[in-house]
Amino acid sequence: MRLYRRFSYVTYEVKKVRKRQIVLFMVLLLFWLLLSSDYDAQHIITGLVLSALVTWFWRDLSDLLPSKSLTGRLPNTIRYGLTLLWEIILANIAVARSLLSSQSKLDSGFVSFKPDLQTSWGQVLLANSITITPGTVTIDVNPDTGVFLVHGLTESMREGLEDGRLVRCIQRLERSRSK
Amino acid sequence: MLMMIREIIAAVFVAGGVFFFLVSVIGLIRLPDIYMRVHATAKGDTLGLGLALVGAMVYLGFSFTSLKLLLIIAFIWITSPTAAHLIGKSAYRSGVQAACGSIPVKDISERKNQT
Repeated sequence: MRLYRRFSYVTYEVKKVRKRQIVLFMVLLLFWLLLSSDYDAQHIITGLVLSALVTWFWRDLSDLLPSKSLTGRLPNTIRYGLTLLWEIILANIAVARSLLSSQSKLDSGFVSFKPDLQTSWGQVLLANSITITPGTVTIDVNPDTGVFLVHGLTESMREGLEDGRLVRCIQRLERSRSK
Repeated sequence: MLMMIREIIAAVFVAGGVFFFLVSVIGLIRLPDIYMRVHATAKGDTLGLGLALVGAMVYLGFSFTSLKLLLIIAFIWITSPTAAHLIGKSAYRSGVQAACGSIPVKDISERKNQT
């Protein structure tokens, strides 16, 4: 199996993989130069060597990088980012209110649900989105069944997780990428 | 004049960040069990630190330093939820009991009939 993968990877994918590796290298180098903000020979050479090393290190991962061009899914990606930011702000205010209220009815507890997501990266994205939103933390995701286990601070934060705004956004993102 | 307006906006942002940090510390002291405390601390990191650093960015204006501050926000927003998730998961795996009010039993909220 592994041998076959190697073989097909070499024959059919080599051009695509090369292209992705070059893109990754450029992004890393740009990021390094951005952080160093000092453009003498020492910084540039160090950046070149480190970017090449990291690209080499992740060479097996490069066929997992996005296959579709960015333009097709850029609007949905931006939409997802803005939705996530808005959810974070709303949830922050909600958590602050429930923490400061004197007669707190914090009925925290666990819920488990199975969101309607097709891809594994969609599940990863949703799990991380739930965790970054204050008031809810993903405790576990079963990779085989796709069942999420989430701890929520209050009842209202837990409800609507499985078909909320974030899930719909990620579903849209999945559709725009699979086409 | 323009500088003063910018300083005021920056101060408002930083004050907001400090406020959210204060709330998260109050939550850390008030809340009864580990699962709820994770929420309180993760909350301070996301909006509290975010607002404070946005305030610093407004104060510094458009420069390399504020770009780096933006990157700090991005990385904190990646690492802080990861830490919260791992704390929660390890507590759950090792069977830490939730406080008496909150039930450690899962509610299964699957609405199968809609699919």
